Amino acid sequence: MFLRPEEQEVCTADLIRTMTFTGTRPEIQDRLRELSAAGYNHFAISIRHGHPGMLEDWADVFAGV
Amino acid sequence: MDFGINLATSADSWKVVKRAEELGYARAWFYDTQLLNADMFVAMGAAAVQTSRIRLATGVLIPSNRIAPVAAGALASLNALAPGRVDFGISTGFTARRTMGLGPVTLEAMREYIRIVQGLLAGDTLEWAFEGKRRKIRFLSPEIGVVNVRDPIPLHLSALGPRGRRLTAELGAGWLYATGHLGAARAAVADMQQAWRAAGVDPAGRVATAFTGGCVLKDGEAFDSPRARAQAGPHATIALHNLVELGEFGNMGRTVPRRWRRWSSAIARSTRGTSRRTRGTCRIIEGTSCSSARRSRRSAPRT
Repeated sequence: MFLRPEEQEVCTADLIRTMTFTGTRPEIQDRLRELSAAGYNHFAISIRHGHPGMLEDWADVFAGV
Repeated sequence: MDFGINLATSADSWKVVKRAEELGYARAWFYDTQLLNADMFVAMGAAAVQTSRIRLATGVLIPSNRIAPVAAGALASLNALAPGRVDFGISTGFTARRTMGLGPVTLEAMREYIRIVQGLLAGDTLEWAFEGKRRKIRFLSPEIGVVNVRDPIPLHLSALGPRGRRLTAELGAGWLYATGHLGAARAAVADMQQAWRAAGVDPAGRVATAFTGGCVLKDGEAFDSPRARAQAGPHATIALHNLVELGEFGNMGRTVPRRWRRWSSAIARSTRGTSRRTRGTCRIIEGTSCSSARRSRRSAPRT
């Protein structure tokens, strides 16, 4: 739901880049196309509590896929 | 491909779901993690009455959180509020179980749970084992309309490993895969499609869901910006929790990059027999990831 203080240290740029769908809009759109080509037909992104603006951010991503 | 959201359930998740519907999202998945989040079915009920198109999915229901007839009744109730818009997602349990010091329920127990839930929703009379006895149960009066068992409620299994995927295929169910790592996601869906075909199920007719977290970076924003950490960090660190807790609960199946796998056996040895997640996390910080963290901060790419 959120990072605890002791998790901040281990939550590195490398970890986020490797283990999540984080990137610029075109980068994420490329990854979504790869997922679709691999066989996924539904993609669900976690909307964090207290971050409702994520809905618009991701809607913009999806609109371009 | 269509798009949905997954939510660490809040009592007022309906506000996010309503906005998601306005933006064209297809489905909202609600976590069933009782010690961290709000009650899943309460939040889904509120979302059901505030929306009209978006699908509402348990994402995912944990069998031990409620007995199977209660789950069937809750799904049928939701289906009355949101006819034909309800999905039944289920898994053996990660956060819902580990926050209570428990490992996952067995696949066999989940299979039996699904049999009861789906049987009741189908209007069947079935034998159900509870409190040491087997009893015959059914919905007694579904025809009066207090619940909806007419519209189908599709089944989806969250299955991170091959045995779970075999069960998914055997049940003809949809499938969820919690991921963020593209290579692992590709391998998993290939295995799932093979399992579906082996079971005589056309993969094109099943929902294959990539379930993940992330952050859309702004121009020049770093991967470890405060915003990126807040939005993507909780999903990213799950893999590390899994490494820390290998000895205690086994492997949830979340694949980590090869460069981190070499740590897993050492971490598992160092934490075997412990029950303190924080202790394990601190060992990661002290022993391994700390140096990696420093390197990553120095080399964090700017986009």
